[in-house]
Amino acid sequence: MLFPTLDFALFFLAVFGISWEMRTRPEARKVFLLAASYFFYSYWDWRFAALLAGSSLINYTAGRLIGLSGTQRERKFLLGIAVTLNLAILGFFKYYGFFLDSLAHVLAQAGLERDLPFLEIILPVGISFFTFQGISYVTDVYRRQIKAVDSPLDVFLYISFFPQLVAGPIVRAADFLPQLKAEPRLDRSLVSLGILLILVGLFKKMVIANYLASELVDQVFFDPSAFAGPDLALAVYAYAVQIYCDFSGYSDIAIGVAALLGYRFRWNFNQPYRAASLKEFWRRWHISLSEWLRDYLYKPLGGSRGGSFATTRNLFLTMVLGGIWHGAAWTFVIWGLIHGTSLAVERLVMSFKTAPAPSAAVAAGGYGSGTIVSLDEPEESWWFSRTLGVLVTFHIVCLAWIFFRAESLDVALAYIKGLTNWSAPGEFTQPFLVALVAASLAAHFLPGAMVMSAAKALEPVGPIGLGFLLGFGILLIKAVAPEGTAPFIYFQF
Amino acid sequence: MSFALEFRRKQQLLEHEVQHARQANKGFVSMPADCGTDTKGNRRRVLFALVIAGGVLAIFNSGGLVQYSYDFADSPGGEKMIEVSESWHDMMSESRMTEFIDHIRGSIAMARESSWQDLTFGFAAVPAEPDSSTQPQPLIVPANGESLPERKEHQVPEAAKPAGPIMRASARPSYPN
Repeated sequence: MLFPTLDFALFFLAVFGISWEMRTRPEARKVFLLAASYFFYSYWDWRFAALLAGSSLINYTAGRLIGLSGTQRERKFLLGIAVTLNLAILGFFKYYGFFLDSLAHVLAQAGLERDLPFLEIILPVGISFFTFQGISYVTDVYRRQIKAVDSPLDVFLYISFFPQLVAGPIVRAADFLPQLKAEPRLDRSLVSLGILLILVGLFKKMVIANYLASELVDQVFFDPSAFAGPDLALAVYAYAVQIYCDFSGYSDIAIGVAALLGYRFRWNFNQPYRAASLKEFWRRWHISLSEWLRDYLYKPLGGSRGGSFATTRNLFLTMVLGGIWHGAAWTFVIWGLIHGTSLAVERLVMSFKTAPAPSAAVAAGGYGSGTIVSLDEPEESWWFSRTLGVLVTFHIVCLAWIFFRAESLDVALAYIKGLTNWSAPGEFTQPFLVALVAASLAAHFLPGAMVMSAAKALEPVGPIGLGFLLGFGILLIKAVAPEGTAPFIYFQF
Repeated sequence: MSFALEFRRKQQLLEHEVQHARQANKGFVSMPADCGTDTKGNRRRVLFALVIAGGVLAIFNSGGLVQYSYDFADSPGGEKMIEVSESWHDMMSESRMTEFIDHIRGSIAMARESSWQDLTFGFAAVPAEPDSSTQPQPLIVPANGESLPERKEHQVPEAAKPAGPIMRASARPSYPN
């Protein structure tokens, strides 16, 4: 069930009421939350609940066996088996069709047509996310960062917890398992933050993301050759806003719902379009995924330990694989290539900066400035560098988004070609859409602590005030939003 | 003096603990709740707030309830549910409770349809001197004496309109070029 629906509201009301009633019986509470999570997941398709359970069982068993193993060799072998099984499940559902299509094409080219076992495979919702969480758990046990959990209930609940099950954030076992062991508590900060994040998330998704998708992005990306430069430019900026609001909106709601159940998650987005470099962008965008890629892909590949060439290669490979993770299409590969190449070039450029003066201080890196800035540097120069960095970074990200959003490589290339044609006026460059895109981008430059400050201000508010805030907040969102409920973009991954 | 030193020492320890806790909880949306948290009270507070929110939505967005009930048309009791929700919606409409959401939707629809010309005319309009003997003159008169062109609605070419669902479906594989 989707978050912004009455079905979910009724579901959550029941889960909230019953789970807190059981707070003095932690094991029973966990069983209830697990059952609720499986009910939530089965609402899409009950068959996938078995897949979820199977994946959880693999990871729990692997964790136990690794924890009980004596030798390093045995631990490594078990880790290898667990990761292979996880990736095999993910690979089958995500890439089987692509693999067979490609194989059929190659065989046809070679004159060796065969009847290949094509299957109609439905991609289970959230498979990437719960697979990554499973891999995260067994790897952390192997690295001895956490102890293997004895209770299967804890592992099953960690992997299937419904707020973050289908589209993240990718929660670390080290962050969540201790909270399952502790007594659940609900304080005023969690209440006010939870309610505020749910409202903010609903607004981002139902108003901003849905308007931009239905009124602009979907139409322009469907056939970019029918539009001129102004529309294409506006549409790619709009898509940058749409995907941010769609994804971060979901994360906000997930974090808010978890907070109301007494669980703390980490932030998943931190105003990414104010980044002045790609490196900074990936510390602000989908933080849980970029940290997962860093810890479970980049570092095992060697990280930054092997010198400049090896580091750049590892960075590049990580981004390309991150692109492939999104789906079996060349557009996602190119999206990863753009980010990987940009990060590699950025790293190279930064490495050529001169050594700092004795009075140096560290500042945020960006194009036009180094990671080290002298305390004597004029403030105007720093602002210029930062502004230039933000603009360059944003446009590189937008270029990559064209490939990410386009249905095929041909569409993406037609889109880029169309951006050079400014002979005709824009049809979609009307005040409403332009203002929506501009305001959404400008919001990235508001103080980052605004949400926390607002949540702090709400803490003393009583239940009637909170009720009216929530009720009228949702009412306004429904009044302003377009009709219908579109699925979240990241459900397809 | 020992009291002052002891006070200072406790303050520094507290600052150090706060700093350490912040560091340990870096990236989390909030700090962990402490032992004295009134969980029961907060739970009641949230439940009450959720009920009030539901009431606000039922009153001012009764049309949404009707839409929701249509999903249960084929279920047992579905017809009754539709009847009740429609009656409730009629009551709310008669009490003008639904006007609030209709007014906002109308304003948003107007904003969506507005063009740059509308904004320009809106800023450039000068109130005319009241003169009952003359007809109101247009603010802008074309040089050739023809009437002003009609505002062009933005039209999407037929070919550009997606035939299927507007949200992008799962990525389809494409052959390498």
